[in-house]
Amino acid sequence: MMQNETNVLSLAQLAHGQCAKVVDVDGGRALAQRMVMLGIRRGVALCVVHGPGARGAVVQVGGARIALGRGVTDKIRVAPLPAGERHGLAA
Amino acid sequence: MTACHADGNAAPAAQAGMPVIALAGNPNSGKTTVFNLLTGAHQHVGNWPGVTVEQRRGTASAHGRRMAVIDLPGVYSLLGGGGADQGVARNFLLDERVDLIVNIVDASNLERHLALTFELLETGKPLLLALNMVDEAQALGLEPQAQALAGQLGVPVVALVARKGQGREALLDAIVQALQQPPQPQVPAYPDAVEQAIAAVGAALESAQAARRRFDALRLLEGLVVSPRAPVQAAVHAAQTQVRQHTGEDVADLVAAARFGWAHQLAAIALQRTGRMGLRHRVTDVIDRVVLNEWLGVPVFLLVLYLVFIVSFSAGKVFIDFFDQASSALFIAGLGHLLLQAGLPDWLVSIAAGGVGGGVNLVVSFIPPIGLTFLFLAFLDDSGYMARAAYAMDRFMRRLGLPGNALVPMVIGFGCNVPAIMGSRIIEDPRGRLLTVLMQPFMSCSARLTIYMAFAVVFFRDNGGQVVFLLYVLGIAVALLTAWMLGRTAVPGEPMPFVMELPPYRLPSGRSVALQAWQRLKVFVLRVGKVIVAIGVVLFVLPGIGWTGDGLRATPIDQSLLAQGSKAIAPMFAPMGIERDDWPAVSALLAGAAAKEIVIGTLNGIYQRQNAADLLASYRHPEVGDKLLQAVQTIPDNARAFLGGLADPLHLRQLQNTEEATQASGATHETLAGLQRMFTPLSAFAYLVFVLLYVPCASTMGALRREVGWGWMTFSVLYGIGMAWAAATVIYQVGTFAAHPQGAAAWIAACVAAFALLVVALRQYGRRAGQRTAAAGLESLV
Repeated sequence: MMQNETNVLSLAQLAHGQCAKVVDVDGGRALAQRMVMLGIRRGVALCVVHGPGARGAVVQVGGARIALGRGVTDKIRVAPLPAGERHGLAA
Repeated sequence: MTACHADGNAAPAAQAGMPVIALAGNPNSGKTTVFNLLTGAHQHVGNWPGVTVEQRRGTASAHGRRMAVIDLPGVYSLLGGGGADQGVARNFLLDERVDLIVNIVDASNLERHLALTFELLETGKPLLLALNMVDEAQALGLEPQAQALAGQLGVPVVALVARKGQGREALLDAIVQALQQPPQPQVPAYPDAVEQAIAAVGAALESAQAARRRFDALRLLEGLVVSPRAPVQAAVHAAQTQVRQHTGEDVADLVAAARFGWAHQLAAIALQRTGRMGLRHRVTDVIDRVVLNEWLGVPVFLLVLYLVFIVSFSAGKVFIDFFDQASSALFIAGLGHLLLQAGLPDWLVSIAAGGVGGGVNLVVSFIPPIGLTFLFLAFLDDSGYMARAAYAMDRFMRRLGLPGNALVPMVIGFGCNVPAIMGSRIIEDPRGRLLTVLMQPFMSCSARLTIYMAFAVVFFRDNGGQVVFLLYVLGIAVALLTAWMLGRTAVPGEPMPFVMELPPYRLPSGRSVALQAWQRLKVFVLRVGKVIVAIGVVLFVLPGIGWTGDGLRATPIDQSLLAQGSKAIAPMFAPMGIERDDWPAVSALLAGAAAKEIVIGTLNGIYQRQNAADLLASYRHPEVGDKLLQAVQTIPDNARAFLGGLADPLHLRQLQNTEEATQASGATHETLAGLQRMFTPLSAFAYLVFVLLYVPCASTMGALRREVGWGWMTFSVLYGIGMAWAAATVIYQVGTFAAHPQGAAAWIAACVAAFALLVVALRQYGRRAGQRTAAAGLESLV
């Protein structure tokens, strides 16, 4: 998949309240599958509603809030989205 | 799936004639609430055969028809990425008889939930959609369009708010209708290239069932499982390469895109934006800011657990005496009386009423604290807080190699180990669950407290509180040490990465909470009950008979089997300061292996030489009515005591007051005098450490076996005895070091060496186990 010019960071590097689009999930098949099941997969928009911090982060994906440990937030790569819009999120 | 753990829970289709309805949905979709709505009290909680996954099944009635309802475990997908739950749900839907699938979805989170709906449609079974939590969707400014969704899907759609009971009738009507005219939805299709791949792999598979072949093919193509058969794997590789060549993408990505794209489209049709934004999410946000706060998160959790503990066990104490005395009146005195009237011989009446009745009495007196524990936990779980608690504690617990929510069972264990072990099911990670369960026996339960109190009265009058607190801390320390050590040796691996959905906060539904607590309580009482009743009979008989020149005869307690056995083992306790003449102390330990509550009672029996004749007299004139009245009268007195003791759950202050402590421990003055004779303060403390650590009661051992199997249970028992013995010995030897330095040093060195050896052995075991898992590779297709 071609990477465009936007910055690609790990979820752990986002700021509180920032929204981003998921680029990839590192860390093996099992983890990636768990993420997919919960709705976190390539191309999906999410917003950080708590953290990020030493504990990890809580993200809003669609209508759900998902809590992610620090080890996991380090492995999710995202491209930040411009602030302002809610990017089709339910809330 | 083997049937060896059947518990009588084979597929419910065995009930001839009743149609089978399976409830399927994500966790947090309100599936269990719907289950309760449909079945009410007509439900049974058990185990799925061969796995430690809870099974709920029941029956529902509507329009004169009865149907079997089975609540499948909540899963996000049927295909992969999950644990035993997924396997259970998948295998049931594909292999067992299912007349209708009722798919419960959360309307406020529709898109994600519909991803599972896609998979359920692929099973080819008739489907009905229950659109739950409509109120929450509306609170988010989304108006669900059930008709439109039904039109698009080709299946009936019923809107509900299950927790308020709204939509129940409509759902039952729809179910009955669907059973008569099964809706046959179109199985949604993937892009052509993917469908060809599925067909190609499916052709190589053995199953006769189309749906099973499709699912297995998908799991193989997505790389979630491997097949042990070479031709199948070859077909998989070929198909995967084909797809990559034709489309430029991986099968797994195409499948996910198709599923979620479909779900996205449907969700857009099903929900109309009205623009009204909700209070619910803002409230959730605010509460989370406190509860998940960097600094406040942990203290809030500890506070919540403290309250659970207090309310359950201290408030439960308000009713314990009532339950105790009432059941004693009915099951001991009352039963004895009935049996005597029936003309049974005295000795049989004694055993039946004293042993069996005594056992039942003991179990019944558990009901208040345990029932309240379950109630409170169900309340917390339903409110949505428990998920936050797991997240808040995860970082700290991870350093010990444990998952965050391991703390909940740990704290329950301070009340009673059995519900704590049962409660460990909330931990998804099997490794984390195993470690948590193995920690349990070291959590000093409330029954052990009675023993500490008796000793504190005699030996630690001035600092009884500190001694008891020290024991609790020691228990926690050993528990954490055990988990940490095992985590690095015999049970190697990393804790699963933390990923958990946080449901929005809700006011728990009273009905749902009560029903859930009741189900758990029933299971607990029946299991513990069987064990304690059996033990009760044995321990009733043992102090009364013994080997004499003429074989087994009734003997005074000094020559009974209990005494003989205890005297025989007593030498093993010499290094911690117990002499052969102190055999009652050993008897107490033997009794304690059965149930800690009866330790003091056993000692009382030994020292007071309670007469069988006295008991028989009470059976002749049971005066059940008076006793029941007295039982009821204990409630207000205990209520007052509870209110007074809120600040002091461990009753540390009570230990200051000798009379109160004596009464609380249940020990008679003769027993206390006996203790005085047998121990010194040092040996008493060593003994208490032994009691803290050695083995949990028989019920706990039973619960252990059910959760982690015979092997680990045996390890736990032997490890506990070993740790207890070593700790008590080391304490006693260090304390008496001056008197015999060489002997003491030898004992201490021996204990340390033994522990080191254990660690080495565990590490070996862990390495071999790790090699075996690595060799097995990816999960095999089952």
